[in-house]
Amino acid sequence: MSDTLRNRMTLARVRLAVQIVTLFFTVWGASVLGHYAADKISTALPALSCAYDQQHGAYCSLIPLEHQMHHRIGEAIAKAQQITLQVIMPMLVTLATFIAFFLVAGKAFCAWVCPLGTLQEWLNRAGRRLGLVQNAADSKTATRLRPVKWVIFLGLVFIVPLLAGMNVLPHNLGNPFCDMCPSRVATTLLGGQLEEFAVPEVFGIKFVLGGLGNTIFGFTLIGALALRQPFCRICPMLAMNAVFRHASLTRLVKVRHEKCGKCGICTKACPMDIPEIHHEHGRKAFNEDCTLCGRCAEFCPDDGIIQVKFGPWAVFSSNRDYYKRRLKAETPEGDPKPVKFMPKPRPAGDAA
Amino acid sequence: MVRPSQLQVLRSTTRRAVRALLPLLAWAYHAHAAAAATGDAARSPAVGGAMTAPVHEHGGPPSAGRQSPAWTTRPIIQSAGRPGGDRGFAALAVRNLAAAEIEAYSPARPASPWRTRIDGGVARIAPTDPTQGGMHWIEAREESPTAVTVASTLWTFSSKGPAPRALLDTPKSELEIVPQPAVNRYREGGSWDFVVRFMARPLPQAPVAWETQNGSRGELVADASGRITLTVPHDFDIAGQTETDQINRLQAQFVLTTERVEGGKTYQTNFNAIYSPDRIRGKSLAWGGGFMLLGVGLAVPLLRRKGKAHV
Repeated sequence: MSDTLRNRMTLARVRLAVQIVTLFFTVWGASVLGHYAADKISTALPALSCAYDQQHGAYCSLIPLEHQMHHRIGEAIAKAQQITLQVIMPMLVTLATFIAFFLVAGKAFCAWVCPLGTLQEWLNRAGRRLGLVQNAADSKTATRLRPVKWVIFLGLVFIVPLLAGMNVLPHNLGNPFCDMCPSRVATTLLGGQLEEFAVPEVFGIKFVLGGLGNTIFGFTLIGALALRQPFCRICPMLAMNAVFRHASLTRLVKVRHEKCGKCGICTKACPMDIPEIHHEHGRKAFNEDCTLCGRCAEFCPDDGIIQVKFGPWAVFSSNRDYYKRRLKAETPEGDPKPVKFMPKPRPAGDAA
Repeated sequence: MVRPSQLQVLRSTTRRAVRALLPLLAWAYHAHAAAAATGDAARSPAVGGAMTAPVHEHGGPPSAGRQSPAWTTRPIIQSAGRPGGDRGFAALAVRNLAAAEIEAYSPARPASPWRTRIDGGVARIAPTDPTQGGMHWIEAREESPTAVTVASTLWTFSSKGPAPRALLDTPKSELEIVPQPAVNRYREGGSWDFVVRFMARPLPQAPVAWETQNGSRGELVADASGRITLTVPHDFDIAGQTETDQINRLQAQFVLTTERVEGGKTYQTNFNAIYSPDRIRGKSLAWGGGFMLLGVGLAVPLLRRKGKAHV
């Protein structure tokens, strides 16, 4: 590989290319691949199906789970039916395809595939380009926020749909998370559909959930300009991926190093502000909030300390030369280095 | 801290972007409404347990019930199964046509249809191979020395099957109206293409009459390539429906009919399918925009506050 190519091929650039491809595929893919493609992808891979994006490919596994809890498990229990293979199997298929997908990609789904993750990242880059003040969660805030995604995951993806299926709660609470999911609003808008942006006219559960979804969408849209990945921090997909992260072939590995206690650049580089990547090593360093973006490895100044691994192979390993090259383009926090064609401000005395 | 000039630039840029984007989104909505609904409709019902649409939707015509009268005088094929659909087979009834059997074409082997007798007014059709599902072409015909009358529809079996391209390309009767592409459920306000074929060839200038269960009707004329575009009218009465889920669950049928006289014989074909209310009915863009602005307002302090340093 030539030096020029080696210098240009950063992990960040490879990830950007993957994000562009996956965003295009999941949002507009069916328009290119043909009318039946979205259907085929969704039915072949139930782990990748957003019911609300009616026109395109898909990317999410939450609605199948909500539907399984609501229509299969909940209703079966309510009717006191025997839980036969007909009930269990569909759920196992959904879960199995989910596991198969995440066994390979692992948490990389979040930082490499998720369309909402990509949009937030690009918005934050735009915010930094515009010079907007940037907020970061300190270690206490980052830690305190963590239970929220688990509450949403267990509550809105499992328990509420289950109770709706058992007739304990109204049936229009069958897929509560999806009804308030900002990704549903964002990706359908990108596809030119306004139905999911619109909120029911009549006050009720759907009105509240839809309104909440649009509020979160608006917050994410502007918040991402000044805070990295604001919605990812409470996203139930992050929680779901966290469950399987240590079983996944793609994972983050950090070894103990004497300098780690002082440096902390990895946490600054982390878009999720994870303090553990700085303080911990081994399994603990691969935190539940990690999205496997690899920035911590990119900005680690020591050789071989942080690695993104696939099975036994290191896909990317921290490297001092790489770190120096990476710093020329942007700071660990993500601030871009000044664009060369922009004129430098003249000193005050040089005005004439 | 962000400089006031930068904030001003951001605000004016945002304002300009929003102003530019809103008409674009409105245009995109109208331009893609048909395709959006098509995509929705094309998705199969729960396959492998994964619902691909947020409401209970099952492939094929709506349940007519064994005794319920047909809503039209034209030949149609309706579901006669239990409400909500049956797994693994389709119970179908033919209305306004003296047919003794129903013919089914699978997407995997469209050249090898199979026939099922109509017993007690209902034919129970199952895929020849339970692992091969997907969209099937269902047809019934009545034939006399002077006339051939065909009723046709599509039915989706929940197990997976190939895309129905070959199924649609295969000629199944002398005169046929073939959806392009095939969908399970149409939506109000959407526009869909159909091709009229006679003896396996597109039939230009063919008159096609259509009517809906909600009382709308009209006539279309095929273009030079035999293609017609049906725009499903907004004719659901949603008064009294308080939840969008209730509106989404409404369904009705439409039927397309064309006739041709050739060699002293009259050929008539009918294609019927179901449609649902436009997904935006019962919803408000103003409320949507209002809530989004609320979220934007909540996020604005983030643009002003000094960020905390890492601990």
